[in-house]
Amino acid sequence: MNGTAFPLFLSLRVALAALAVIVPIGLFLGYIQARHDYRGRSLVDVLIVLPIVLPPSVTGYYLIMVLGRKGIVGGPLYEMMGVSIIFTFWAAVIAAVVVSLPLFIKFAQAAFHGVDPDLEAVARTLGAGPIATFFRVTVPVAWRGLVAGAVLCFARALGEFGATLMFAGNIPGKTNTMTLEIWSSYQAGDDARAMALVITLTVVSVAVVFAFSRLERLQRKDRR
Amino acid sequence: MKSVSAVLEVDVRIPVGPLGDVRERAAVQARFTLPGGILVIFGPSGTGKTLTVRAVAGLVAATGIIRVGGETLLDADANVAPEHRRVGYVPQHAALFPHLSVRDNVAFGLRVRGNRKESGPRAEQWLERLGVSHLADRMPRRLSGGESQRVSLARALAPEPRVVLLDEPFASLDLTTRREMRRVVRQVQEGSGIPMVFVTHSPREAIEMGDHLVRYGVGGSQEEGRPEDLVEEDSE
Repeated sequence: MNGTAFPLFLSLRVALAALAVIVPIGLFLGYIQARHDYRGRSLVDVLIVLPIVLPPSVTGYYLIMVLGRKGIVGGPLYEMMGVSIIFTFWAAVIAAVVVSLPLFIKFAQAAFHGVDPDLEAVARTLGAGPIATFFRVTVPVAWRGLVAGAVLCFARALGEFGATLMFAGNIPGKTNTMTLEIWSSYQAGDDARAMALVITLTVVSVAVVFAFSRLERLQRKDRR
Repeated sequence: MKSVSAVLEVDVRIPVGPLGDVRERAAVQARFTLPGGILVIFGPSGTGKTLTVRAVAGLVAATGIIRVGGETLLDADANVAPEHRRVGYVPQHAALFPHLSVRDNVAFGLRVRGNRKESGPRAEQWLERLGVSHLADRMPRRLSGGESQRVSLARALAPEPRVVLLDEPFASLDLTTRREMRRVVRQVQEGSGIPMVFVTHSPREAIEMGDHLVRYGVGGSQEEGRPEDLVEEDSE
């Protein structure tokens, strides 16, 4: 397993950092989409789903256009502050966030949609403000759906390849995540190393899927 | 609206909402006073009874005047948020928090107001008064319909609201449980002195429960008076 530790821990760090960004944004957007009827809601729904249907390399290209050194946002950021995001750890995190966030929003939306609005109404009349109601009633009632979304999101971030390759590169010791390292090893003809990486990632992915199915079973039991 | 002694004064217009089943309806105009005891809002489905109590609780937008115990909750300048109205609400299907035990459901209103120490004993007291103290540790999904409504009522009463709104709380219960629940609600109202607004479409329930009655008719008509004068008892 020599040399697999860095890509494995890098992938885990990227996926966890992505999750830390995704959860608050996803909770907010998922709740708005589930509970509020506003003008332009359908358009927002389409924009949310877009990164799921776009090929990851296309998403990666858009990220370069926006956040690259000559990008709409990345250009001024580099010229004025000398900050460059592309080909860094944070570029890998951003790529993972963009491709995984829609999954979490969709799960959160469905989970919040399943919460009886009367529960929130009663909580308000009992003295809980909107934020207290959200955290004391809505989130605890929806939590299994939310955790299931987070687990799938984590798995998606862990397996991210196309957008990461485009936007974060494949820099050894810096941005060579597990999936990129598998590709590099295979390209270099190092089959033993590729196999070791593949087995490691398979074990981690199976563990994630197992956790997900356990949660789903708990969720079904809870509804009975 | 002139009654000085009224516990609750309502004179509101509830505009057509953008969501769900109220979309195609005309605005509801509601005007009544509650001097104390139990006021029944009686009428057929679709006449705005639920919208009225939800407007009093601050859960749907309305214009006009709502006063509780002399304090203005709604007028041209003020619109007090539901969490500050001190108005209890018991919806049709109890809506117990499924992730909390019966005791924690009843203590919820006291805890969110920062009254943590007292919340446990006060919750126990109200469960005792509603005859369900033996269910304190149960989760809501293990309760029957009647038990759920008793807990829902205890939860609404525990923070000692100025008025409690009950929106067809017995609609999904069997006949025997309904009769028993009417007795329980009357007993609790008389014992606690907390005024109540009780929504129903059952003539018998209207007569048995109400000290005062507002009859909602199709087309927006409203009459206020004594239950026995406005309702013909024909069925459950």
